[in-house]
Amino acid sequence: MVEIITLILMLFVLSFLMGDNPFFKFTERLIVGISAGYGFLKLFDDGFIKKFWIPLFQEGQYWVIIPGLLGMMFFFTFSKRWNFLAKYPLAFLLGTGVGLEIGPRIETSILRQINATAVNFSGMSAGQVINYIIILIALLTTMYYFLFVLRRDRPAEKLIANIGIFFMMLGFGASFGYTIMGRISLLIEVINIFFEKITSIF
Amino acid sequence: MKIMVPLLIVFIGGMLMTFQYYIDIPLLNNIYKGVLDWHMVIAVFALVIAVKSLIERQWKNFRQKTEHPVYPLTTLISFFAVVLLGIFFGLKQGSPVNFIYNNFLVPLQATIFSLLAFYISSAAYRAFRAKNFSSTVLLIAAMIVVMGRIPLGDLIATWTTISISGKDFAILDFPGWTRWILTVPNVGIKRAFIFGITLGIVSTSLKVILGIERGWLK
Repeated sequence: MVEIITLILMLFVLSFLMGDNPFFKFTERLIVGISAGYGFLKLFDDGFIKKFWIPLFQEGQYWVIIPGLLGMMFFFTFSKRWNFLAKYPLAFLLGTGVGLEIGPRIETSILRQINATAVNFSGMSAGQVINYIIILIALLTTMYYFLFVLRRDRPAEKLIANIGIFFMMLGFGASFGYTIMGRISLLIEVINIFFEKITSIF
Repeated sequence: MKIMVPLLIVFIGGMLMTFQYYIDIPLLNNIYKGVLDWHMVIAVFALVIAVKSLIERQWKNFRQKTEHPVYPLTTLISFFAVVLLGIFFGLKQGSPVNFIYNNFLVPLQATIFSLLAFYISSAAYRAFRAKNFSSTVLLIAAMIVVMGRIPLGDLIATWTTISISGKDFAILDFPGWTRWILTVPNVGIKRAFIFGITLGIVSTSLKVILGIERGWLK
């Protein structure tokens, strides 16, 4: 029975290929409701029960009242007079959130990337050296293309920017091709699930 | 009170969390662990507001008949059904919510994402046209990657393999070319983008911490 319902709902979703229709809209709303309910339950369980209720009432960690109160301050959104208080928990989430981002971002996305690009060629084969040089040229020319403060009037400057465009097109094409294949693999997987369900019914 | 206190909270919180990454002090490490837990607790209360907004919106649509009443009712009923089942039976393996998740949500979400295959193919048809040099490079790179990721690409590589002084060499080595494009030039341009994106994120984060960016206070 469940298999039949899932199969019908999958057909409703696929019916969108013929245009927007009531069957798709119904399934779409069903997915929204189930996802929202599941997301709410998951966060309620992970955040409220495990991080607030159990520490407060079973483990006697009374300090968790502070984030609890801070969270409750969100409800001041509904008051016209006191709604500025709802900005306090938001400020906490925002301030600590962006603070948590800065260090790891600089470490992983800048320092380690520079480290991986500026390598020592000693002991490498000719092929590896050429590959690293290509990576370096692609990196520098792409960055040069996006340095809008520089004027690109002279032929040499235009050439560097054009090499950057060439590498970007190569990368975009590869990424697009990769994405197409990923989506088609997912479609094949869905078609497989679809036929598995049909065979399990009959 | 209305402006200064939130700005002060952002400044202190941002500075503490930034410094704790670089300074190894037990107090800061404990604050860091506590902040991660606090985020979860505070987020639950924010979620209550989001749920209220969802319910209000759907109820309004139902009452005002801005769309067919079946749609908002479907959202409301499915939402409350899942929440009630979760409250009474929990979320553990074998529970009704887990059953709904595995048998409905997962295959339906996969089906929705699989729809993108059709639209991305249509987009590819329009994008991959050899109009000029740049678009030709885009087309060739995409075709190589597509060929390199399907079994036919492997077959062509096998068919066109020749032996030169005892070493096998594929003339049309699509899988090899794909690997090279993805791991060499693609890595270079991705790094350039990562640098740009990271500098943007860090500068915006600093603007928020220092109170220069105040859009969130409105």
